[in-house]
Amino acid sequence: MKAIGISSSGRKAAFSKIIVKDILVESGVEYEMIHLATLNIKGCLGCLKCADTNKCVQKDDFQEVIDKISDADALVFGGGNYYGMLNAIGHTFWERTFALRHRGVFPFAGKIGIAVGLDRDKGKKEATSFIEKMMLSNKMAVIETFTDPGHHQCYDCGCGHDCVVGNVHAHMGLTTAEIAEKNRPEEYGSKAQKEAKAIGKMLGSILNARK
Amino acid sequence: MQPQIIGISGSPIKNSNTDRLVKAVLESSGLTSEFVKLSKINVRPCIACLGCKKDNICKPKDDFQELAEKVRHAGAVVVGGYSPYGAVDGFTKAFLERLFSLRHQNGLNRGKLAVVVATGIGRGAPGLEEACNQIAHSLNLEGMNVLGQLKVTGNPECMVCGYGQTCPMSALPWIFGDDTTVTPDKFCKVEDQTETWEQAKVLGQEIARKLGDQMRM
Repeated sequence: MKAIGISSSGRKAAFSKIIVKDILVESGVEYEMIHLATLNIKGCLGCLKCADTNKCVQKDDFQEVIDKISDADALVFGGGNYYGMLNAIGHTFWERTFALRHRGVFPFAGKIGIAVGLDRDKGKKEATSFIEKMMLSNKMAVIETFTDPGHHQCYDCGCGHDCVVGNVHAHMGLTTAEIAEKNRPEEYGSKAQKEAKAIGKMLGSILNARK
Repeated sequence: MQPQIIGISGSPIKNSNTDRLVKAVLESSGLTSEFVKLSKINVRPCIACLGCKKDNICKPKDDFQELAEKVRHAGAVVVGGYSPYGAVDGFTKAFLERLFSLRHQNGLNRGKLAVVVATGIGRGAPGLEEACNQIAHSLNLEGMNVLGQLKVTGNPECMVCGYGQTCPMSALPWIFGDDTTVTPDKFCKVEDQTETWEQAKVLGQEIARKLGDQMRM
């Protein structure tokens, strides 16, 4: 039994990486992490050359990722919300899975999916829902979704307290760097970590029972 | 000289409905314009490195820097995308994300005039509304003044892939019911969508008038 973890975040210390890894480690199964930001995966060109073969003809790193998921039993995919949507690194990857559906082939059908989205708006959860939707669109079996507010960039850029177009200002108005830091919203706290690990444990139980 | 109005299309199809409608807005404005097809250049997604926080210049080297200079100097932008999987496409999305670099501290796109174009398969299929709202939302967050949203009924790829009538995933029965033979009359052209086509011309003229007023002030 093998699982693939994918993070679509561009940041080195991304929460999507940390959370996906926490879930995989807790599952106890063999896994491999893929960081999409280190790969070159462009948007779908709509060329339809995949209609016969279900293989994308664009020469970039997409096929390598598809082969790895095809060989695995589960996929844990994590990505952040930029401008009310899953970020473009993640979005582009999922868009390209169009190649897999022609004539109802679906190489990922039945594989276990866990969607991890970093959404600040827990009501809308745009990133989480999009990942879940794309897993379902690829006929995967989504067993769980997980949402956390994730990282607040404007608290780290160094100018947040003094910038009227950023999130610190939206939260508390103009302030000082110290006050901003003190009131930084919680990022993947201990309660959230426990929830993520519980999902990992469940993934492990399911996969181990299938050995 | 930098163009006064920039048209951007995320549609990868040659001379697509999206392209033609974006160009229609540019032409009716009568301003010096430039049309950019994102699938022909290399604009990667934002990697959240924050390298832009002090000088509003995006650091990962690709074709965005040149495009950013043009957007920065233009008085108006027309952004067109399409809606695969019920959301705006990846090319358009990557471009919109990178505009974040122009935002820090100075909000360099504040007040810029904008028009949104979105194409979907329409006819009751989801996605068009969502893609349109997503593009408008991104531009609004940058402080732009979105004057209008143009929605186009386009064509699903299942009409040209060759398997449209037999594939279990085909969108054709969904759209056309029992009659799934692909005939020329079934292809939708934006020029025939009179209301949208006229609205594009009106928006182009409105941009020209508003930018003219700004210059006289």
